[in-house]
Amino acid sequence: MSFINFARKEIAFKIVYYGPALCGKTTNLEQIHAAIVPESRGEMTVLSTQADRTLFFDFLPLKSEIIKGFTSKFQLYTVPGQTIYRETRKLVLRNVDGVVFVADSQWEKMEENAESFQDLIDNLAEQSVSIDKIPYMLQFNKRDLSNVAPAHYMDFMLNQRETRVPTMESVACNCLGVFETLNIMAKMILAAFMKENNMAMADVPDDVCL
Amino acid sequence: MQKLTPQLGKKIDEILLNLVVRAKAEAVLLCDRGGNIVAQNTTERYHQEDNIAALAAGSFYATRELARLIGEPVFRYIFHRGEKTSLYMQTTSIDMLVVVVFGKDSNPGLVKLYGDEACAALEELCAQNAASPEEHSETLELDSTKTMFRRK
Repeated sequence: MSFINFARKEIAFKIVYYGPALCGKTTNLEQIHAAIVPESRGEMTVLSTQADRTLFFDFLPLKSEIIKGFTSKFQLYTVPGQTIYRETRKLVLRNVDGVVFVADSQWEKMEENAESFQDLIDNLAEQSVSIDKIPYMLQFNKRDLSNVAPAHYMDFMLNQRETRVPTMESVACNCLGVFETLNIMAKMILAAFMKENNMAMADVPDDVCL
Repeated sequence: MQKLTPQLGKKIDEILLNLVVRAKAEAVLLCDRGGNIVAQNTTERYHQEDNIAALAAGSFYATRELARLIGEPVFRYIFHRGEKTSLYMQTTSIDMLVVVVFGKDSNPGLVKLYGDEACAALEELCAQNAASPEEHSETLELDSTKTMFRRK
């Protein structure tokens, strides 16, 4: 849920990177943190185990001046992908404005992708949020590996709801598709925010997020 | 969507300033359940307030499950004691979290005493505002000259 603070002239949006274990959620945030222009980012907080598995969440605050007179803060979170951390994922999803579902493109991960996507739907539903009512998109990650499923197969598997959502192929460890994903997500959230505030959609220039 | 008007923000700032001074704290953050900073007052500069707020909200609300397991609806206070600097968190009935950072000039009893008072004042203020909400009208406009997230 976006938060407008007229007193501090700030608007805050929350983006959650969701997906199965080891699909590349943390890598997305690490690449953004490393490559983004410094004036747009804060410090990244990583809460991982000794084996580099996300324990609680990762957090990266970004900011933009896209709304006149206000600082727009986009707060990026990841969730722990391992099945046992379901309660933690529910916690991180609280007040979410948009979700990037990171799917692992390897054939043997398709079942985990489907389970994780259903887990996302269920966890949102427990907070009385329908996935069809919030901005979300799919990122097909690890496209550089040899044993990947075709993108159209993954699209068929994960993108069959009433409204089809944007997809992006990526190699997060090389930063390919990472910024494109972030900017598509930010643009979707902004569009939803504008609609809610009766701002004219025509105000959005085509290249605003590119 | 949550909104905070400048008038209400000013009143909240006064409550937080009062807490900082009387509890001899270094920083006070008021966060919502999503980890957003609603208001803050700091005597020393903390450069990562957003990270502190996100972690504080995450860790505080994670304890709700712990509370449930021992038959409590919620823990109202959490206190982390450090060598030089400590952290105190208190929830309010308005589903906001007060985070107080304090050093050796203060102590947990003092912080809890004035933390209780500040939370009560915030709850009363929000109840008044809910009964007669302040109107605030401000046009939001996109800046088409700005890009969003670019690489270096």
